[in-house]
Amino acid sequence: MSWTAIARKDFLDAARSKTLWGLLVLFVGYLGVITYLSQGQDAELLQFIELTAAGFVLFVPLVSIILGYKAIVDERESGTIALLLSLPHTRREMVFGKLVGRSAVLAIPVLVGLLGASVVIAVLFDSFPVVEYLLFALLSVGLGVAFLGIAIGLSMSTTSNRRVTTGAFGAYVALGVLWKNLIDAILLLLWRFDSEPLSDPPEWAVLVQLASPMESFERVTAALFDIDIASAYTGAGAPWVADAWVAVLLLVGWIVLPLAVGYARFSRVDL
Amino acid sequence: MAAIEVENISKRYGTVTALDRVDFTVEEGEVFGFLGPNGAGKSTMINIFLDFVRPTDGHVRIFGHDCQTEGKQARERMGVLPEGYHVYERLTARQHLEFVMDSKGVAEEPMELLGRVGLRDAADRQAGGFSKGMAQRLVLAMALIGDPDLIVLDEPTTGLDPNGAREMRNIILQEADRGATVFFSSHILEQVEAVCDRVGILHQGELAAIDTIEGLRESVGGGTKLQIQVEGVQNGMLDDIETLEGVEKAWLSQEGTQVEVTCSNDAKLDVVVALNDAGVEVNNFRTEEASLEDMFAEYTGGSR
Repeated sequence: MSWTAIARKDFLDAARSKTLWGLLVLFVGYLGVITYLSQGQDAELLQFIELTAAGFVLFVPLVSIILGYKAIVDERESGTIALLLSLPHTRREMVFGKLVGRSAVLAIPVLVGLLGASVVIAVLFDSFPVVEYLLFALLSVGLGVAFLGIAIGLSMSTTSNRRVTTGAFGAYVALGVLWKNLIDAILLLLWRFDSEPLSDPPEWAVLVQLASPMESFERVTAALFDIDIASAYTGAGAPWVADAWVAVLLLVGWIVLPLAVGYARFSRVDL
Repeated sequence: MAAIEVENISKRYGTVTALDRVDFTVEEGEVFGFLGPNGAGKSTMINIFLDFVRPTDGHVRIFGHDCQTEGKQARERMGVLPEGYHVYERLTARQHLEFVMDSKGVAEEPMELLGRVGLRDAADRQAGGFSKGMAQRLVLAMALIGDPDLIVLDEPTTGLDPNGAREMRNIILQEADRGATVFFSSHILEQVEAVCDRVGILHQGELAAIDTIEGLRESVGGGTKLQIQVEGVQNGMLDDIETLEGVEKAWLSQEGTQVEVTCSNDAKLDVVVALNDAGVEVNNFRTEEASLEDMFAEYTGGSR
């Protein structure tokens, strides 16, 4: 299995660069603070999950972008790719190995942090929904891998480091911070500044809004723990496209699609 | 089966032709030198072997595997020292070797390999701190892993001191003794001359010559080069010299004060006499056996 060698090397490289350790400190620290905060008042598991999700939705994608955007372009710019691809690896195996290696660098701190928190939760709270908690852990990693897909896809598409950087962080801002505003702006334009569709958006607009990995993540989290985070999704009149399964599919789409587009280009170019 | 079959390879970048219908075969067990001045297209050819670059026309097969459609199978049998590489700064020498072993599915003793290339003491140092020469040794060690049937080295002595270059040569010979095919490119003749069974000379993207060293030397002339210190040599005289029997080529060097002639041994005196008859004052002359250097200059138009 050729890609395993690349994944292992990549992981080793990250461990050497202290990235892994930095992330461990970040995630364990963040979850430590949250568990500490949640214990004081009437301990509520939901509160813990909400706070965790609120943090994850911001920095898991950011960490993934940082982990992924240089994956390919750096090897091409520095010339290490000449060593890697003169070995019996295909370019596809290289990309897959990188995705797996960097996913592990992301997943380990996330999972270690959540595991540590679960011990505290098991002690503090009466009930501990193990299955939901595990699914939430998986979902958090999924959110990260979606952004790794975006970042690595971009990393494959050009040799310009600057363009990859702009694209990757641009994607983070557009999908995370501006997404809802962008859709609202489009709705306003289409409806000629009638604000009615903003409160009662058409199905496609709900789907597009859900298509941001952050929104998908929040939608599935809400479904797992019955949190009412966005009435557009969970309210009585919510369209079928706001179903949690649609959100899961969209998230998977983010892992696959940018990689496929980037690879289509990367597989054809002269290095 | 041939180790490398290059069939009519052309590579064009827009209007620039990097390789023009290059066609040759390297047999199993050969040590093949790929010679040419910088920019002749040597690395482009090797990058086609590795599928870093896709040819505009033609095919290359390595042990029967097409380098573009079955690149992985082709590379499974190769050990490579590519050009323009960079080592992984944060990985140690040992980890580099382990990565290659992992990739090729073989297990070898890293220290033994590092000893062979003289890097034993640097085994656990991060490669980011290596000099160019050390990096070159490391990548050579990587190329030797798994006893590959074909070893491809692109300008292997770049960055090595004379001592390192000699060690490189010894390793190439050891690998050839083991039965490996070695293909290496260079713009320095001595290296090729010392170890190669056969040489291909690439010039401006075209294969200018391909032969054994002896064969090439014969084609240059009887193996003698004359260096004649002169005064008053005129244009056109050299053309007359070249018409003499046994003379291969005559040219002017050192700002018109020295004529160099490659010719058969018997023609030496005829050349000097002819120059004298033409009114050229011959101050001094000496002869030396024609080296590949001259031959190289001849095939590549002296543009080194």
